[in-house]
Amino acid sequence: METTRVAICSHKGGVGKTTLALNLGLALAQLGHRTTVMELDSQESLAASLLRPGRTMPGLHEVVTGSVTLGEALVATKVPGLSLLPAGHVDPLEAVGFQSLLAQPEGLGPVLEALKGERFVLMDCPSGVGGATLGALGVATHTLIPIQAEPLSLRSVQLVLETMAGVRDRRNPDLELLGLVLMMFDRDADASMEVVRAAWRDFDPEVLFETVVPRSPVYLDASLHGVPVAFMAPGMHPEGRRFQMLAEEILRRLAREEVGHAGPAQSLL
Amino acid sequence: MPVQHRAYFELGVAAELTRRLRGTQAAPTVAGRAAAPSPTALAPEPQPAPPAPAPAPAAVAGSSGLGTFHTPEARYAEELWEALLRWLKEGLDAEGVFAMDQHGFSIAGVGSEPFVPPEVMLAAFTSMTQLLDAYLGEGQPVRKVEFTAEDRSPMALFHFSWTGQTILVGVSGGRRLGAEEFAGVAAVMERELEAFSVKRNQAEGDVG
Repeated sequence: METTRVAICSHKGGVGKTTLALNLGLALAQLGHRTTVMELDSQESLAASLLRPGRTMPGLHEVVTGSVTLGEALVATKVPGLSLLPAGHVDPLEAVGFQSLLAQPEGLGPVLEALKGERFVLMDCPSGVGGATLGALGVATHTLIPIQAEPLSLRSVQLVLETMAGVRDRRNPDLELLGLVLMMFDRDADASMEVVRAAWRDFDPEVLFETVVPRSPVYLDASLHGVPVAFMAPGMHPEGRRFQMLAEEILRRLAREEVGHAGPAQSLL
Repeated sequence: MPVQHRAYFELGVAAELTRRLRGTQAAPTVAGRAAAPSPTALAPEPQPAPPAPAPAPAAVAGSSGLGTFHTPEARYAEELWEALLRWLKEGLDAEGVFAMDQHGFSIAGVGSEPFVPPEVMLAAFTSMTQLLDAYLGEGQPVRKVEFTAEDRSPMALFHFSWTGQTILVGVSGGRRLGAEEFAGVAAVMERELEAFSVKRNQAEGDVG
């Protein structure tokens, strides 16, 4: 089976891209699908959430600049089938150059070619539509867009969709929208509820995933402990199960794509 | 009444872009989620007419104790929904009964309004079912969630699937309806909706 390469991107920052990438990657691996989560953000959010403070490791930056091999940079986890490729250490003054490098086909292309044994590669893009995001969209098969359940995030959705449409028209005609995921939903906040209601009203069920990720202190705690949220309770924290439900939705959606039917999304309940 | 702030909530252009990028068209759902309200928005999308079904039994299967449901001469789906919910309300001596789709949008309602906004109920229902599913595991699905408040009648929310959609039915006050008993009610609703759908599609075919 071909690798599904998913660019997780958003124009707005702080919407939960890294949370989505890491926890979805874990869920897919737990469901038996070999997955690599690749960090394209030179802020090293993924590595920062998993490593002890002050510790760095080589990653994508070192791979694309040729100082280490992919095998040396790829981090195997204790979860069978889940690997991580952190961004590596990027000097802040070189961040723009790193992004430019990723924007070129020869930047991410060879890395993804080497990962073609994986069922999924999730690319955690930096916010905005800089070179790294454009590079990821250029080599991805699908785009997954998190929407923070707050008003400003809604405004940014159109921008990232327009970017995706532009990349599809000019560079990657096979790029598909996998869907939109509502993140950080706070049902006690009127504004958050309004955003969710607007999204439910206007986006088709085949576009907007049923699974909604709430705003919950457990995500902050997970980040503090440097683990995916599923690891925050014995067995599995219920929020981890939430990402498994999202993973199941994604798998069903991809299965429908394969048989050429874009039917209505399956029910969450 | 929620206040619409600025233009953040105008997602028409973005929604159209998603359809283009996802390769889908706007499709009305049971509650007409993606379509403007219309007399038939509550009915499912027209399908090729299947073979005529067996006549729907008029009474609830099992021991629901709700008595016979008399199929109305409904021309629009709203009329059927109203009859179904009124039958449920009277059978349970409830204060109010309502139905909504899987996104929290109202399909129909009779009697008193729910004291919890439908969106909040849906969010709570979804959270509860997800959490309980995570703890209970497969094979023990949650069918009912009850909402209580000190000075209000308790309200129960049930769900059933019809044509791939999840329909949620809420009951406030009155006799409590068990999850198993609700299965009988859901069966009647499914049969009536299906029969109505077939009848409507045949009528449209005749016109076409």
